[in-house]
Amino acid sequence: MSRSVPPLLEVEDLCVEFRTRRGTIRAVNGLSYTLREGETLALLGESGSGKSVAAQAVMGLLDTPPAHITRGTVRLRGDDLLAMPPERHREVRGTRLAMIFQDALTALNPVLTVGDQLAEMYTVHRGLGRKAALARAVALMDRVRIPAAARRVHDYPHQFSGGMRQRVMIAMALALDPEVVIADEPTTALDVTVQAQIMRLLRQLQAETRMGLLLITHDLGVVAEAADRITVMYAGRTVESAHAEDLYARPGHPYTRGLLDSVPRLDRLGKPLVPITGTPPPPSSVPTGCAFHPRCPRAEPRCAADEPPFRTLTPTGHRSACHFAEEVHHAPVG
Amino acid sequence: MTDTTRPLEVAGDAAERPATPDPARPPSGERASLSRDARLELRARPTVWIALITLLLMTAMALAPGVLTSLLTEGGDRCDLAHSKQGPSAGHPFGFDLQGCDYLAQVIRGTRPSLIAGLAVTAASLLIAVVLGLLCGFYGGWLDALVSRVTDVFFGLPFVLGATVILVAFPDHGLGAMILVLTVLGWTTMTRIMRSQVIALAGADYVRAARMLGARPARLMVRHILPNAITPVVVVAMLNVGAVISGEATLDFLGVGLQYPEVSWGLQLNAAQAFVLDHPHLLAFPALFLSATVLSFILLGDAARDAFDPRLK
Amino acid sequence: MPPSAETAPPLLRATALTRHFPVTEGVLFKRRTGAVRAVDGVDLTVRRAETLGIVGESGCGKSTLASLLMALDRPTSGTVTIEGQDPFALSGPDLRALRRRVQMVLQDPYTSLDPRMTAGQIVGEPFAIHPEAVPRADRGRRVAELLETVGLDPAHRDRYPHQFSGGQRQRLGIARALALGPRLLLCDEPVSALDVSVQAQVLNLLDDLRRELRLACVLISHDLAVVQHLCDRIAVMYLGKIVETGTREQICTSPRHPYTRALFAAAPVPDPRRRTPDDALLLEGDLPSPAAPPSGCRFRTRCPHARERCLTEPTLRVRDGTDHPTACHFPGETTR
Repeated sequence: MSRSVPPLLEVEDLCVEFRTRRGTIRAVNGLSYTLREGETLALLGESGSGKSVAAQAVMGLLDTPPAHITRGTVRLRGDDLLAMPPERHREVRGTRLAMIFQDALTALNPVLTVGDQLAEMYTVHRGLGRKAALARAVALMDRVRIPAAARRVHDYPHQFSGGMRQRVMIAMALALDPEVVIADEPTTALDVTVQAQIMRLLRQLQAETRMGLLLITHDLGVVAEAADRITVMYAGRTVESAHAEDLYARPGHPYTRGLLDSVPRLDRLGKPLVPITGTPPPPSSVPTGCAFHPRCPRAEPRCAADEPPFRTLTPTGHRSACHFAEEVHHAPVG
Repeated sequence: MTDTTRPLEVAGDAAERPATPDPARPPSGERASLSRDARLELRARPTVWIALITLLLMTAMALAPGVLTSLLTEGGDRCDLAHSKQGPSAGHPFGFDLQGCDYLAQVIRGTRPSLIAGLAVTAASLLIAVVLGLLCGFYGGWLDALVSRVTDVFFGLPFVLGATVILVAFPDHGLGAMILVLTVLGWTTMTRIMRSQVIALAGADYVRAARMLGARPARLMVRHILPNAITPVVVVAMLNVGAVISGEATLDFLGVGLQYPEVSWGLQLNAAQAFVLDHPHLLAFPALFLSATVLSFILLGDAARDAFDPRLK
Repeated sequence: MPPSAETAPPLLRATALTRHFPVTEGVLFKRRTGAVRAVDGVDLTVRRAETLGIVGESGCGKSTLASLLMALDRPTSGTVTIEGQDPFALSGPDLRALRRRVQMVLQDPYTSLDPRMTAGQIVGEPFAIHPEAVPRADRGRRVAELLETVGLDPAHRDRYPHQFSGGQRQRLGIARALALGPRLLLCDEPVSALDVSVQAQVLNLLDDLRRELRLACVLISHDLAVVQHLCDRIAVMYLGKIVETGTREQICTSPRHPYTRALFAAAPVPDPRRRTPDDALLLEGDLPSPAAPPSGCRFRTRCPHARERCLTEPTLRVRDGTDHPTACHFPGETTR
């Protein structure tokens, strides 16, 4: 990694608010991360953590109003996306940034064939003729390992199974060789056996293209399978970020640790679950201080008052936003 | 496997309370109460207030026309052919009609049949819709097939034309017969909506849950399905009141509805048509009242639909 | 594991249970052109105080099976008996009495509670339906007890469902299911709609309840880890059939059916050091349509070990003396 080349995708101190008649809701509150070439960064969080809103902000998909990006920068190879005029941002979104959605059935147009939708990427952005574009579409479907692509290119989305539809979505995202692909819960709607196929496909494609993959999910298992580095979000804030192995082996935030202790695991037959008490707060009423303190087993009075800074724990870049990060980090896991 | 001495409450609510200190406030932001939203929505719309006030006035006129006419006009209901078709003047803001009666008094008296027809037809249609919709949607089968086909047939009949044909066949009819005819022609829309609502809700998880508890069909329908299915039907019913009122006026105007010496807006419009150019006030005032009433019901129906429809948020 | 498992009569038994949904064509005159074989010859037993897990992917028929076991839907053929009684042969008061013994917790806590009823009304509804269960005067107290049992504050009984979080709503659903003192609780994906950090609360609650109330449970889930965590015995379902049953240890430590093994291989483990290797054998393709299941063994189209015999000869789940019956022609050979 050389100093002179700016990082692939750099998000700094991103804040997103929703201003509605019922008041202002702060959905994302100071999110920062860096995604490098050929790397998979997981944004891990539960519903309401702001992970999807953050992704949409990067993609420029938020509607203003009600959404307002109040602070922060999003840089793609040094180009500030938020400072760009909307047309430029749209152009970047089409070509350099791409997104894979959770629900392929609603993300694809039901009245157009899959081939037409894929070919459109080439006719609109690359100025190809219909014939040539359709040939590229078939090649693309081959690339995401859809069997009999030449025949299936004329099928409509509903004629594909869930797994195949998700492959079509991936093909669409990869059509213009983007530098960054954002996958928002790409396998949540799929069965485990199909999920495994899709995750493997993404890994293979990433090895081929060196794209940066931002994986947004709530699933600790999927994250462990795919991510190089992980950023954990809670109530709109970043609470921890680390290399994947580091995070799972020695979590530095009580929330991450709580999550790890509370999921049933196939590799730990008969081990009791230790649940996190309470529920994630809705974005409309985030607790003061550390947002996790009402649910935290080791919270002290200061946690309700001071918001803990997001600080570095180890030279390898393990960071955590907890007043007691060191103690949590050093406590034995299990 | 697990520590069985662990008290049951350990994973409980206790720790969840600090996050939601205010018991009156729902813990989840986006799922606020529907009826509260509806009230907020209605309050925020000035048009709704105007519509409500208009309808309140109309109701007062329909309930106690005598009181209002004697309050608002000189001489109240007295008629004098000498004043025939005279325009508005002091003490007679709407002028006089053909027979020389105070036109304001006449227009006020015309409110009653319109409102009665609108409300009665809608209430009867609503009753039919709820009963048939519940039974057909819940039980399905041959009953549903039969009623659906009958609904389709009646749905195909044009409202005003159908009523004209029937009413012409039975010349000696009063308001009651008109209500009957308009109901027969107008019950289908609400029934269809109710039926589709019930079908959707009959498969709802909470209805399944009650079924599993052993709840009888009557309980499922009345306790679980009806309260959740009725909202869109009520919205349509409000819109329907306006449609029926204008339908009734149309029939009167065409001469197949109420007949003299009854008083109604439709009849007044009918009488006014020959003198429109010379005496526009004869047309203007009943038309104004008619439009205001119909519009008010439509506004109210629209507002109610928006308020109850969570998708429009 | 289950106490006196072999001697006690089964609480619930399904024999050759089948549910086919007709596929019709035509608008006015419907012709039957085929059938979706959602459940196709399922045998299973649930003993007293035992937890049976049924695991399978979407489209395997597990939800239809749940409806049949709860007597919400009539089987095309086959029987269900609850403590020896056939719910489909009963009606009126007898059926209602039988319903008191088996109850169900539904998947989605956002749709399974009537939005226009308060928490107290929801949990108290079973008593309104079965007035003989608890005298009227005691109902309020009983509702409060139930709310406490599932970890909710009885003071919140006048709140509406939307004022509770997902986890709390699922607790309400559990309280409602427990109200009549059932002996069997059927849970259909009880935590899959909940946030990760809340799932463990509900799983632990179910675990505690079944122990303290000596409840038998049938847990239906797509999540192998959840089933493994809670269940004494596990049945694996594929395309309308149960392909393997066994104790938790048997299924988890020595699965014999290739599908079961594929499920374990595909299920992600939350530990980056145990990543699925890039060359690990993954199941290919998707679930075939239950309207046109493959001939012979239903799994053969995706099975890495499929041979000639699998094409023609249906597999049966036979007891081979191990109490770990597997519907595979070559269960031993394909193990590892």
